[in-house]
Amino acid sequence: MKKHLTLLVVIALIVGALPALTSAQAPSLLIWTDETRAAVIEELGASFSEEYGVELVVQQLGFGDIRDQLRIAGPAGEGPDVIIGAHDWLGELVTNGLLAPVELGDKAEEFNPGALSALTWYEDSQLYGVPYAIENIALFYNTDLVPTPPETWDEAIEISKALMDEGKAEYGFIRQIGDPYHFYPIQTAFGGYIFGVDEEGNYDAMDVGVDNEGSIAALQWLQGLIKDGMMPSSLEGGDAEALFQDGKAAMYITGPWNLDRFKTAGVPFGIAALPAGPDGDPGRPFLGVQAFMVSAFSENPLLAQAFLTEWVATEDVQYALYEKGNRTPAYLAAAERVEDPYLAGLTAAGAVGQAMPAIPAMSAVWTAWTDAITLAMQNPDQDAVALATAAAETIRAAAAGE
Amino acid sequence: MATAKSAPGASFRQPAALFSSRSLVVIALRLAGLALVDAFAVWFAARLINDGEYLLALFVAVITLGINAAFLFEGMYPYRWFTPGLALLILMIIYPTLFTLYVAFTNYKDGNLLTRVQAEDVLLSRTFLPQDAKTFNWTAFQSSEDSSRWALWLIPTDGQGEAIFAEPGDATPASKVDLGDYTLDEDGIPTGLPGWERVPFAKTIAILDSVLSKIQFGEDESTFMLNPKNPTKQAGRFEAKYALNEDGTLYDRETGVTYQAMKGTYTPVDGPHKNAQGQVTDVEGVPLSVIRPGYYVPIGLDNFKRLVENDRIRGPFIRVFLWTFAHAFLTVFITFWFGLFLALLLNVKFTPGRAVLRTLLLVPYAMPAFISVLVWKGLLNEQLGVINKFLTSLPLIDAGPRWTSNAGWVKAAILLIQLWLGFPYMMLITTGALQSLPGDIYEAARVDGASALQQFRHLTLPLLLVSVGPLLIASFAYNFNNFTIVELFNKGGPPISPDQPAGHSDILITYTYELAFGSGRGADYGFASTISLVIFLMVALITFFNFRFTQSWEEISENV
Repeated sequence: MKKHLTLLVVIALIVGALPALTSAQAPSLLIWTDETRAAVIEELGASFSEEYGVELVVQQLGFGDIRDQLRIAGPAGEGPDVIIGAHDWLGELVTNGLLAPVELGDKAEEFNPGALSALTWYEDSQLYGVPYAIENIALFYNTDLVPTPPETWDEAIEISKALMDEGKAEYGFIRQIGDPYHFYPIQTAFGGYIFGVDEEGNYDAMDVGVDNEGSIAALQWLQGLIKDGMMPSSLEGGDAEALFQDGKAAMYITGPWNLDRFKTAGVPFGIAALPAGPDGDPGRPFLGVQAFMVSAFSENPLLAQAFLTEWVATEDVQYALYEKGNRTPAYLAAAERVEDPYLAGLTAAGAVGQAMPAIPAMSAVWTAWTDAITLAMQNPDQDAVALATAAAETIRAAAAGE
Repeated sequence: MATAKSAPGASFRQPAALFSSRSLVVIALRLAGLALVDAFAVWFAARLINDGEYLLALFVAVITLGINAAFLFEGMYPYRWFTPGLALLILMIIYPTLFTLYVAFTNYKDGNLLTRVQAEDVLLSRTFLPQDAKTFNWTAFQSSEDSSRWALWLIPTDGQGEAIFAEPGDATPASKVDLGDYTLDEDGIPTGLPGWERVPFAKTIAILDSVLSKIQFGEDESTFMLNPKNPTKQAGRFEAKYALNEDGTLYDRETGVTYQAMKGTYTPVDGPHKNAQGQVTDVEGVPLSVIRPGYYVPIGLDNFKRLVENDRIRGPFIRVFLWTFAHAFLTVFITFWFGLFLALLLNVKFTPGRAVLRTLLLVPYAMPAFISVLVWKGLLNEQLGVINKFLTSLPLIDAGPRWTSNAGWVKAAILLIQLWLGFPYMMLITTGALQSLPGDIYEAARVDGASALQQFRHLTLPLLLVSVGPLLIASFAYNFNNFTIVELFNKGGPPISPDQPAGHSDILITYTYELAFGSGRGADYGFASTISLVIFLMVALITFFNFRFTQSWEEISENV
């Protein structure tokens, strides 16, 4: 009996050691991803592993944790080879030297050019990731209350008034307080902008537009709505979503992250391009781009790059990622295969979109411009010009490196 | 004296015990345990030194020495019971405090997050392709005789010019390569070569890093390497972009610009193009910016200067400071009086159902503050909240208080929430203190003809404060840094003005958080540490007064 036991232990030890021996020969890639993407990488990654004899190790982290942990684990030599991230992380990750640049060569033509330019860092014109999804906000409207979506803000307000007068809805169009990201389509429709663009298409941090005529007009328009009692002033994102979901508000600007929630709630809704302004300027949403990126501290940097160009940049993978994530694929061939009315609406809105600036001065926008919009909404009688000017000066000071 | 007498007896027994087998086992176990702890500590410290964490390694060493001393020397016997606590105290309180102190004097922030060695490694690994150089598509070949020998068949990407067969130390134009029995396939790549085997693409992926990236193909002067940014598709004569000079400056071999690390940030100091102001520019005359990443270094008092000199930051500091004090003081004040009021009511013997009431009143204290604040946030919503909806439904009231958008009301709302969350604790501690008050002094007071109010003012309150006073000060110190409530309720808002980085309800700790980490600003650990240090000094001052007050109350209790 005792002999058998010893034998068993020896066998168990050998079997246990086997994978360790074989994996010593096959190089492995450690990939950090969030929950949604992990399944796709594990399923489709198996073909990559088999074909090229490479082991893929997938580790799940919260989306934001990926960025925060990379800055600690990367330099310590314990980080991943490849991460999944968003293009607006570039400012932080590239300035800290945590990412390695990527080149797509001829394959670049197969991608949405807007997605690639969003992942190109303005200081060194290098590409820092292979995109797989584009997301932007659009006008979500309740199809029971609004049969045809408005094409201009004037139309939207008419619809709002009619709905509120007839008592069909508590509010027509609503938006949350502050939040420059969701305000940008309104700002641009009225002729405003946040940062101007230079000849090469890069954002110019010194050209701040939050105090131009259009931006101020957009703020005043918003204040007018609140003064007329057409829109509540103190909604947070969650409150506004709840109002739309319960059919109490007819129109709301939001993005694909709410698709599942609204579908589950059973509210009948459609998605349309963002309304245009009084002079016909289109409402431009910010584009967010999600991408695979290579850690600068990877022990297998070339293999990591190969994973991006040979696996991520393929139609099947990009389409599979779309099916899990509900975002427009960045790979053109995969995007053409998508047939989804909701996504079509989002794509239509994104057609006039601009990549969200990843330049450092953007951080001042998130504070100062948020404050200006918040104050304008909370106090509809406060002078919008003064608020916009103060915000613009703060952003300019930040851009100048104060 | 009794202990001194028994001591010789103990020492008599000890030698005998030393030789008993049980004691030997105990000693052996103790030494083995100590050896394990030491082994772990050595391994841990070695890793820390390897990572460049010298200060932490030193702390680990000190703690380990302490543990050894406590377990080896009989005289240190009492410390054995302290060692786990002391070790944790040193690691989790003293070390972080000292580290914060150190960071406050450095530029540890986004852009300067790495050590000098790490930053140099990242920059030195960058490559560039010289202007006239071509890129090639490559196919790998492995020597049939020597499996460690590899070569590349290189075809120009642009289709112009001849293919090249490059092996370590030698490069041959395609026309001069002896194909033997092999032929070129449709892409112009030989199906094999005499003495060489063509490696299928799929097999090259796994050896990219371990083999192919380590080889310099072609003649020594101009070698080919795989493009680090696109290894599967491209090879070429890539060169290292930066060279490190002996004086620590960094030379950009592509543009000819020299960068010097100024306070950990590589700044252009010299180059082929300069403008009238002496700034280094690119070919078109645009001033060059710094290159990233930089590394962190001590920068002296810069963070403190910034705190004092920058108007944008200093401006709201005084305002935030005053509200921090007011918030903490008022919170303690209202919760104490309300808690005491309830405790007095419930202390009256004939109140029916006191036990049940007491339990029920503790519920707000038992609920996590996190949840309660969010509930209150919903209740106090200006348009959709129950409270304002009720108020506006009343006649004569047009609009409810602006709980989240008015500078005064937001403070009232926070104090209201604090009252809700805080009174049960005060009720709890005052109930305990009330029940321990001696009954005879009240009898004496009644005999002397003191009214109930006089009894409360001259007996209950002073005696109560003796035991509760220190807890009130502790509560004050706690609320001084009560991040959860202020941040969760309104994120410190409403904003004062777009050009000031603080809101009307911000307290020092939320203000620090916003300045250092908030709103995608990027993390500035150095500056955050500086502000933390200032807050630490203030709290230390409060603690000092705590001891003073405690003493004065003790005097009261002695006089009673």
